[in-house]
Parts: sequence; structure tokens; C-alpha cells
Amino acid sequence: MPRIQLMRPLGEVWFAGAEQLEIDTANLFTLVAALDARAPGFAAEAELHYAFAVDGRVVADWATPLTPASEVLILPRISGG
Amino acid sequence: MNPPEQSFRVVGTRPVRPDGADKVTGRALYGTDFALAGMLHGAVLRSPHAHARIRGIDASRALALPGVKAVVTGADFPEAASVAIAGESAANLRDIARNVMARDKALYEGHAVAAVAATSPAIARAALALIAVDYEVLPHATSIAAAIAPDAPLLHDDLFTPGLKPRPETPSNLALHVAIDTGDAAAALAGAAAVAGGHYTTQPVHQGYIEPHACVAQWNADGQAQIWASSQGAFMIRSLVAGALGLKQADIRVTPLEIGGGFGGKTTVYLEPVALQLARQAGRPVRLEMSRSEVFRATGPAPGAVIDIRLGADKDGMLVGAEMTFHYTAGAFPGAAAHPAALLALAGYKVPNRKITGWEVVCNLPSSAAYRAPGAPQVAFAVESCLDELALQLGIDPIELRLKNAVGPGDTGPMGLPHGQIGLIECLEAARAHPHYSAPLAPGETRGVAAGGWANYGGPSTAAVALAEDGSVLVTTGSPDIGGSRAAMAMMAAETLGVPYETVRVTIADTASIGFSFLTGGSRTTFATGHAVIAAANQVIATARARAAQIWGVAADTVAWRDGAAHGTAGDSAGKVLTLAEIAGKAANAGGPISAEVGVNPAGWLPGFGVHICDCALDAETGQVKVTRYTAIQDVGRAIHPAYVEGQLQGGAAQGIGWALNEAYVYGADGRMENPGFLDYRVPVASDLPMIDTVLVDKPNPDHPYGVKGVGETPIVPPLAAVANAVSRAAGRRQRHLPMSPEQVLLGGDA
Repeated sequence: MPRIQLMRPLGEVWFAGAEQLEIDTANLFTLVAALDARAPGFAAEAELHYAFAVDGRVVADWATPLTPASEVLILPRISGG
Repeated sequence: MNPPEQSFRVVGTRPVRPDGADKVTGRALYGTDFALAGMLHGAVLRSPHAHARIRGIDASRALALPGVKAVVTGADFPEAASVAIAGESAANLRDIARNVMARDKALYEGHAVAAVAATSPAIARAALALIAVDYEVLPHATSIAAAIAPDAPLLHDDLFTPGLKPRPETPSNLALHVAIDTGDAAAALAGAAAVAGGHYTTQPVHQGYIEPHACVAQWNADGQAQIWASSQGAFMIRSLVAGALGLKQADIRVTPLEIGGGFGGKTTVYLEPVALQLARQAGRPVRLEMSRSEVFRATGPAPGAVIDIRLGADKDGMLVGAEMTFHYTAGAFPGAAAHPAALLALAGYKVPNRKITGWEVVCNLPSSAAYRAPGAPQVAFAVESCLDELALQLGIDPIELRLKNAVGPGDTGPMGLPHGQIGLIECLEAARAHPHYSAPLAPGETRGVAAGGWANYGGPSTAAVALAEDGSVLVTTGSPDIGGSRAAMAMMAAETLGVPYETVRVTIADTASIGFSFLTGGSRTTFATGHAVIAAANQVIATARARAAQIWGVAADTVAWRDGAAHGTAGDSAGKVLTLAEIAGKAANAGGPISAEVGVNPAGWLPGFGVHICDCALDAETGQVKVTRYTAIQDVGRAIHPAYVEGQLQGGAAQGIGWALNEAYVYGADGRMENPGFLDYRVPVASDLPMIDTVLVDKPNPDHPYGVKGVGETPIVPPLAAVANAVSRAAGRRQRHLPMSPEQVLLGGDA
């Protein structure tokens, strides 16, 4: 199932210090919903401030499908000045 | 895989800038130029104390002054708990709302505590003096050391450091903890052939835009509002004002005015919610504008930093390990770019073992704001200084040392993601080959070199392309033009459509006239809004081809588009041509006007890297440093308008040189800023600097139709260390503390 890696401190902030999770899910929308169910408020924050990389590439489209072999990295979004 | 070679008609040329005539003739409307009939003039009362509880505010005498039409205080703004989420997180909105107008506490000298609207600026200022604020002055902390001391005064009693495991049981001024820990840095450093390191400090520095913050707000009788303001994002203003005041976004129409510099500092609101509340109370439009002193005391500087670093290499100069701990000043509210700092600190180099720990610290300074590549210049100063030290220790040329360790495409970035088509190696090679690098130095001169990069960004953007009846082209975006984006948008539209640049005009629309765009920042506009413009132009081409096919009675897929015209390829249409102007002229009878509006959120942006070479002359008697030659080299993907890109490199370098040599917020023991003006806060002026030479390295981004990478932020990252490395060699002591004032250079540097 897709492996979810969290850049610190997202694990500490939302998931009791976990740095890695495994969640069976179809795409980033459903992943965020699943994470929000575990940590209410996560989705609102993710929509505004987090970036998602799937298999080594940052994606902007949350409909990007996930496969059992997918690796997802969640990290703070960097925009800039 | 190399992208296919592209040839261009417009991209890469240097046409006259579309906003140039208005700006040089003084016709362009900036924030302070805009006026409405019946407009009132506002003024803001600011806390004289760095930290104080507000026990009460009595504005009755101010309200009684003839000509005063409204007074607002924190009590006139919605409670934080009732603030709606409107494109911003509740926590951020709460902080922004409390920054624009203090509630129970003033958190820095200059924090707004009340505001007045009156019939003249003089009456408004006189009214401020009549407002009585009952302060309970509290102990303050304006430095990192003071703010993290065990007995430090707490700014926020509900701030429990995020990012610590377990969650702290007591509040503190540590506003964020970030960490990157890969391999075994301590062991790697213990086994290194050479280790460089030390204690580095930088001071808060302001973005230094010439135009102060200014806006006009109007509250209509039907409950709708209008705001005219200079900023990096009209949609940002709409979102934050709606959130702070609990309004619907569609009820606020924000019109962007010309911007006289932002550099990241105009990515948030200060005056707009206050002006709108005053307008609402007064029933008349209200203008608020800041003085230079207010800009310094109340708007966001880049964070000051304290950085402890050790960087180790083997005898061949290959980096083996790094340890870095940094603290950044967030100012009054959390947020100081520690995340990007941690990610960018060693992003340019392959370092197998790294332990990076970062902290944001709230303290009694203005709340920090973005400034070109937020978070990156401070840590790059430390890292690139250490690389210079390692090069000296190991007897390796500084560029050669960097080339040995530089990341390229496919190498792993700081979070384990492989890099795309980045160009740091090409920049280093270009620097090594540049005549500047091998030019003899005059007696007394020294040379420094440093690299640096920025992540860049994409983000949502909307653009519209419409054909006028004569075939001339109107491009509309919602991205304020802070660095030449009008020209770049026109050029990309002209390139796509196959028409002359001069037939394309670009408008930066208000928030009611175009779909949403994220603000102009993150070096994203030419990349992301450019994507939208190209996509809209392609939709217009598709419609034009279909119209030509209708006119010729053939299938649309037999109509080709080149050189700004439809070309028939099948049957009787073969050889026929209809220009864009001819198709536009027939549009009314062929289905209606031709236009397209496209919203995008493109991925595929790439980081930008640069390498700067700096020659300095140090006056050994006075300690004054003169930059005598400077060259900025950067991978720019592909420059749409090279002159504008060169301007970005020059501007970033100039600001970075100021950060290195001159600029700093100076606070007295009373917590008050002592240099809130350009006389005492000295940015480099033209006579301080040599011509800044530029080299644009083209390594096109395969994920943009024309190869664009963001360029605006990277050039402020290398200069701090480029200058410091030159000065360190001249002074004979490593310069670890900015700014390198004469006193600092001669007396204060670490041995």
C-alpha cells in the first residue's frame, strides 16, 4: 500500500511523532481525507500550506492516482517572496 | 534527455517595456497617487512600547475634534474566534488580524493600536495625539538571546512550540522547530580531514521598497467594498481582508495599483482592513498611507539569524558531513521561513551526513515578512563561508571545491526527491570560465565567490486572451507586475499566436474582472501565469482554426496555424490563408467574439541556482569596504525578456550587498528602533556599487512550453557570502557577523 513520509515537524504536529505511515488509498484527495480523519484539521492546513510529492516529483493535481508501490512525501509548501 | 531545440521569433528579444512610458513620465498610478472624490485621510496610532498590555483606549477627545469622522481600535474588529477561513488558515488569519490592529497587547514598537479618519491629514494626525491609551508596560525581548532566555517575557501565552516530541507543557517564544537528520553527521565530522565552522549572525533587514504601503478603501451603501492598493497580490488582499473582517470575498473588489517595489514585503496586509473599517464607520472613502518611519517600524523585515555550523570535507574536498543549528527572529507573530531555510541550506551540495535544526523565535520586533528567497540568504551565508574556509584549508580553488560537490539533474535533493534539470554545475563552470574570475586583482583588492539557490514555485493562476475586432490581442491577468511580467506575458502570447509583440496589450485586472491568481511571489509569475497565458492563447488558436475551417467549409483538423494565420491544407482550401485579423473581423458572423480564459496550477517548476563573484577593496585604516567588481551568473531556464532578467540579477545582488555591508535594524535598550529612515538605515545607492555584470545561463525547463524557470529570488542568496569571503581575505579574519560595518570588519570579526 502507498507509503506516506512526513517531513518533520508534520509528524510531530499531526500524527504523534510518526514519520512514516502506510495508507491504502486511491489518490491524494482520498489520502488527505484519510489523514484528516486521523488528525482533524489536517486537510484544511494541507490545502493551504503543504506540498505533495509522488514518486519523487511534486504534483499539483491531487487527483494523481496512487498505486500500492507509490511513495508520497508531504512537506511544507514553499512559495517565497 | 535533452528537450528538443526550439526557435523563437519573440522570446529572447528585448522589446520596449509596455509600462515604461507611463513610469518615466509620472503618469503611472502608484498606491499614494490614487484619490477619490470626498476621500478622507487616515492616520494610525502606533505603540511607543515594545511590549505592553492595553488596559483601555479613550478616543472621545479625538472623536470630538472637528473634521474627525471615524476612530477605530481593536474593539472594532471581529474577535479572532469568529474569523472565517477564507483562503488562509485560521491561525494565520488570527495573527494577521492582530498585527494590523493590536487587541489586548502591543507586541512591538510601531504596532497599530488605533486609527483615525479625518478631512485632512493634519487633522488626522492631530486627532492621534488626543487618543489616550492606558498601557501597562511589560518587559520586552528584541533579540533571539533575550527571547529564548529562561526568564524571557512571553509574547503569546498560547504558543506551544510546534514540532517537538512530546508537545511542550509550557508556552515559550520558540514558535517552530524543524529538523533534517540524514546519516551520522557527528561521526562524519569526527573523521573529516578538514572542518570549517563557527557562530554566524545576521540582523533583521528590510526589503527597502521605495514606495510606502498605501491604499484607499470605500464601503458602499449596499455592503460591498472596494479597495485600491499597491501590493504583490490583489487577490491576497481580498482574501485577507475578507478573513480579518468576516466578509464575503465577492463583496470586496480590489484594484491593483502600480507597485513601487515589494520584494516579498507586500505579500500581506497592514493598512487595508483598517482603512475599510474606517470607511465603513465614516461612510466615505479613506486613504491610509505609511510614512517611511512607519514602513520600518510596522512592516516586516526579513528575519535576523543566529547560526552555528560545522561543515567537514575529506582530503580531496568531498563534503562528508554538516551540522547546523539556526534561530530566526519571527518578530511579533510566528512565521520566519525556517522550513525553506532548512531545506535550502545545503540544497546545492551532496552532503551524505547532515543534521540541520532550525527554530523560529517570536520577539518584540515587527512581524517578519517574506523577502526575496525567504530564509535562504542567512543560512547560505554560513554554508558558503564555510566552503570558502574549506577551500583555503585544503588548498583547493573555491569554485573547484563547489564543483566537486555540486548537485546536478538526478541527484537527490534535501528531502530525498531527485532534482530535475537544474543548472548549478553549468553556473559554476560559467563562473570559472568568466574573465572576471581570472582577472588580476589590483593591489589591496580581494575576491570572493559564493553560490546559492531558491526553490521557486508554481501555484494557481488565471489568464484571459481576447481578440479585438481588428485582430489585436488583449491579455488579462491577475498577477501584479513587479518585475516586468507585462512584457513577458505579451511576448509569450505573441510567440504562441504568431503575431508581433506590438499587437499585444496586457492588463492587470481587478479581482472582479478575472479569475483567481495566487500573488506575485516565489518567482512564479512568468512560469505559472505564463502557463495560463500560453494555454489561453492556444485556445484562441483552436477557435480561430475552427472559424477558418467554417469559412472554408473544411474540417478543422485540416487547418494549420503558423505565423499568426490559418493555413488551409486540404481540398479547395489548400494554399488559402486567413490572418488572425481577418478571422477576428469575421468573428461576429462566425459564432461570436473570440476569447479564452484559462485557470492553471502547473507543477514542474524548478529551483534556480546562481554563482556570484565579488571583488572588494578594504580600507585598512577606516574599515570601509568598497565593492569594485561584481558578476552574477544564474541558470535562468530561458529568459523571455533578457533585459528584465538581467535586472532581476542586478537588483538581487544590490540588495544582497546591502545586507552584507550596511543594513540592519538597530534597537535601543528601550526596545525602540533607532534607525527608521533611509538616512540611518542605509541601502546601497548607485554610487556605492560598480556595474553589476550578469551572465544568463540557459538550461531550459522541460516542463514549461518556453523553458521558463523562476529568476527573481535566487540572486539575493549568494551575495552575503560572496562579499564576506572577499572581505575575510582582505581583513585576514573570517567575517561571521553582518552587516560588515567598518567597526565590525576591523574589530569585531572572529579570529
